[in-house]
Amino acid sequence: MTIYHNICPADCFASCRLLTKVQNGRIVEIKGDPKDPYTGGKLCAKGYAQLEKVYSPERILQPLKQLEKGSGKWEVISWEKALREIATILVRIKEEYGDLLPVCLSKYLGTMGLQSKSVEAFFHSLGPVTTILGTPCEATGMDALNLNYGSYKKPPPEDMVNSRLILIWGANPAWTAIHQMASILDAQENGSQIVVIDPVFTATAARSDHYFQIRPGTDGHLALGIAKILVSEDLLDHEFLNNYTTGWPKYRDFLKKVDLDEVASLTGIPLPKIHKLAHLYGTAKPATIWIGIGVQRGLTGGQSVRAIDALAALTGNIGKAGGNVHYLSYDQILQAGDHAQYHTPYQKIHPSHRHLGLDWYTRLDSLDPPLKFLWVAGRNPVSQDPDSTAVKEALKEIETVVVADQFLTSTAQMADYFLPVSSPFEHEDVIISFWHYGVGMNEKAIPPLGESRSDFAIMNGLVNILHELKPGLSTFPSLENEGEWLESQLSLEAYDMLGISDYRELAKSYSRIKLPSVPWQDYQFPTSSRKYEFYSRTAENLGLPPLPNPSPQVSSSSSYPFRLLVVRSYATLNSQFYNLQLPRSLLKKPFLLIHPQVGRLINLREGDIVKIYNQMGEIEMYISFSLSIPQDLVVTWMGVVDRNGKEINSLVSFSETDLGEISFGSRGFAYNNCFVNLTRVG
Amino acid sequence: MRLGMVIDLDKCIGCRTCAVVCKSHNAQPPGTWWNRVFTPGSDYHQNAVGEEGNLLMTFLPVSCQMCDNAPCEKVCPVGATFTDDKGVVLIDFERCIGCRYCIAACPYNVRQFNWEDPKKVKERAGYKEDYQYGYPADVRDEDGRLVYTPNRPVGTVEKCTFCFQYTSQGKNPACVDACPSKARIFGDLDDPNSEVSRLIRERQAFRLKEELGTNPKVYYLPASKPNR
Repeated sequence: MTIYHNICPADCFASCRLLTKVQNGRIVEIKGDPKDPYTGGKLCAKGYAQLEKVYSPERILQPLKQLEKGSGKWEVISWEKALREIATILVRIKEEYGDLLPVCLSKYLGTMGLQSKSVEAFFHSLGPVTTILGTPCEATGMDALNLNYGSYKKPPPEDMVNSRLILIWGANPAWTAIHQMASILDAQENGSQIVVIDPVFTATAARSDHYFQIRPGTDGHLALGIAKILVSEDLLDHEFLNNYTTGWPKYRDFLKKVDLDEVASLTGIPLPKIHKLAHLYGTAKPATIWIGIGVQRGLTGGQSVRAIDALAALTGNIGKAGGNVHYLSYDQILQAGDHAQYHTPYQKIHPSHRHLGLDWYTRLDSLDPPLKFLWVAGRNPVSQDPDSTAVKEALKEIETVVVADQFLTSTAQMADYFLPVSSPFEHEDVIISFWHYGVGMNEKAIPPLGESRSDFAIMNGLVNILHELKPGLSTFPSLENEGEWLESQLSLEAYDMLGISDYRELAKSYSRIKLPSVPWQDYQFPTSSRKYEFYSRTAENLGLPPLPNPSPQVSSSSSYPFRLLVVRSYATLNSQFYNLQLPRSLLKKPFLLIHPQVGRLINLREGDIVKIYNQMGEIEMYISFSLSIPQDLVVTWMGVVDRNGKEINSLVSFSETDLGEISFGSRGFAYNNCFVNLTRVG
Repeated sequence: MRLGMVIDLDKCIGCRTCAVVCKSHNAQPPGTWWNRVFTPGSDYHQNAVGEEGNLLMTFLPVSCQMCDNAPCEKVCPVGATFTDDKGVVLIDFERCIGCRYCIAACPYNVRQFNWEDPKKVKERAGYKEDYQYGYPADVRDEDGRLVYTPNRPVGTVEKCTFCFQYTSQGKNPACVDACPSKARIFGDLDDPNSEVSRLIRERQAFRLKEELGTNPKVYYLPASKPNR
C-alpha cells in the first residue's frame, strides 16, 4: 500500500491537500492531509466523493466522435485518428483563411491545475486565434475593487480571527467554504460578532449573531444607507478620510441625497434595523467585510461592491489587521507562468488575436472571419452560461467542436469530438490557492484510467501530429511529459518563497506564496490619485458613474413575479459532482425552493411538480417549501437539470453587469436578473 | 469503558460531510445511509423553520444512538444484536436472520435492511474496474463475531458501529475525524476527565427521546446562540 500526496483541483476556496491510499493499482481511500495548514485534514462531502468521481460509471475513458451534434450517436475512435482529424481541420482552416482566427478556445476553472494551462499555451502557440475574454465568476466585483483601490488585495483568511466583527455580505461559507466557517465560529466563540446580509436565510445566517434579509440587487442601496448613517453619527475615521482618500467631500454630498426611507423600502430592511447594522459595523474595531460572489451578479453589481467596500474606507478599517475587505486575490498567480494568468486581471492581451467577450455566443453571425473551430476544456458553458439554448445553438453552428472532459457534460453532448481527460489522481499537477495562497501538487497516484490522458498529454499529442502535417503551425515547446511543463510553471521567486528547488517537493511542503498579512498597511493605493478613490476618474473616463451609484433595480413584473436565484449547493460545485451518486442522493430530486405562502396561493403541495417559465422557456422541477426565502424569490442549485434533463440556465437570459471589462476585458453575467412564473403540472 | 459521542449543535453547519464519509468508510451501498443530517422542522435539508422575523435553522445529525438499554437488542430473537464490553451496540452479520424486529423497535429509525445483495447493488452502479469502496476487510470482535464486512449479506440489518474497524484500534470514528466544524467529540463516558464527560457536565447535554428510557450514549449539546 502506498500513500500519495494530492490536492483537490476544484474551483474552491480551500484547495484541500489530500492523502491518497493506493492498493494493487487502485485508489482505496482519499482523505484530508492533517498537515494541511488551512484544512487541518478536513474535507467536505464533495471531497469524499472524489473517489466515486474517479471510478464513476459515467466517466468516459475512450475518445469519441459524434455523428451529429446533440444526437447521442457516438462512435469510439482512436486517439491517433481523433487527433489527426482535428489537426487536419486546423491545417485546412489555416490554408483557407491564411491564419487561425476562426479557431477559438473556451476554457475556465474546471481544474485550477497549472498542468492544464498547457491548453492555453497550445492555442497561443498558433499565432493569431480568437480568444474569449472575461469570466462568469468574479469579474464585476474585481473591477469595483480595482476602481476603489487601483488593485486587488485581500487579507489572508486567518486574519478574520482578528476581527471583532465579521460582516458576511452575500456569501454562504457553511456551504461553499466550510473551513472558513470553522474559523468564523472560532472567532464567534472568542466574542466576535457575526453579521450576515443575504436574501436567503442560509446555514451561515443561522449561525450569525445578526441577520439581515435583503432584497436581491439592492446591496448597493443598503451600503449607501449605512454610509449615510455612519456620516450623520460621525462613526468615521477622519484621519484616513482626510489623508488617504480622494473624492470624500463629493461622496459626503452625494450621501446627503440618499433617502433612508427609500433605502428601507428598496432593500426590504426596516429603517431601525439599518441603523442597528450601521452601528454594529461602525463601532466594532477592527471590523471586516467578506463580499461574496452573489452581490455582483446583478445589473449594477459592480456599483454595489464599490459602495460596500466604501464602508471600510469610511470607518478606517483599511490597512488594519482584522479589517479590510475579503474578496479574491490574484497576486499569488503572478508567481505562476503567463498562461496561468489567462482569465485574471494580469492576463497578457495579444494584440494580434481577435478578442470576444462573454457574449461571444450571442453574436456568431456578426463574426468575420466566422468561428469554425472551438475547443472547450475545463468548462461547461451549456450548463453554466446564461441561455443554455443559445449556447447549444452556437455550438451547433460552429463546424468543429472539441470537448475535453471526464464526463459527457451538457456541453460535451454538443461536441463533434470528445476527448477523455484523466482525473487529478492520474497525472502530476500543481495548484495555487486563490484564497489562502498555499501551493500543493498532485502526485500521480494511479495511471490514467482507460485511455484517458492529461490535458498536457492531449495537447502534446496534437502538437506532434501538427508538426508532421504542417511544421511551424504551432510553436508549442517540444516536451516529454507534464513534469517538464510543470517545471516552468512557477516563478523563481515562487521557488524561493516556498523553500523548494523542484516542484516535486511540493508534495511534502506546506508553504504558501507570501503576500502581506495585512494589505494596504502602507496606504499606497495604485489609483491615478495614489489614494483610495470614492470618486474615480478612471470610471468617469469610461463613462461609468465616478461615485458608487447603484441605479434603480429592475424588479419583477406581473407576468413573471418571482426572481430566480441559482446558488452553489453544499453537495455540488457548479455543474461538477452533480452527476455522481453520492452528492446527488443528498440533493434528492431537482427541487425548486419556494415560500410556503406562494405554494398556498397557487395551490401547490410539498413535492408537487411545477412548471417554471418565462420568456426564455420552461422547465419542470419539484417544489419544496422554505421559510428561508422571501415570497418574491425562488431558489435552486447551479448545474441542476430539471426532471427532463433541461438545464436551469435555459431560463436565464443573457444580460451583462455594469463592470468587469477593465480587469478582464468583458463585463460579467447578471445571473440574478432572472424572473419567472410558476404553475402546477397536472 | 463506555464509548460515547457528543455532538455540538452550536457547531454543526449541516454540511453532511459526516454522512458522506461514513458511507464511504463503511461501504454502504447506494441508497443506504447509516448517518444522516436533518433540519428539524423541515422536510428538505437546510430550509429555515419558525416564523417571519424569527427564523431558525438547526441541524440534527442522527446515527445509531448506542443505547445502554437498547430496544433493538431486546427484540432480537437470535442474539444477533448485542452490546460489547465498551457499550457499543453491534450486529453479528452471521447470526442476523433478517426478521427486522429491530427495525420496528428502534425509536431512531437508524437501522437499514439489505433487501438485495449489496455487492450486486454496487455492481449495478457500474463503477469502473469493479471498483469497491470502504474499509476492505472483514472485522471480527474478540469472540469472533462478524461485526463488519464490506458487503453485508442480503437479508441482514445494518447500522453505525461507531466505526468498529477503527475504534477497536483506539482510533476515532470516521465522522469524528472528518467533521470540518469539529462538532463531534468521541471518548470514554466512564472517565470523568474525558472531554465527552466534561462537555456533558458543563453544557446542557440532552439525548434523543430520553423519555423512552433507552439511555443513549450519543449526547447532543443544544444550539444556544440568539439568532438560531
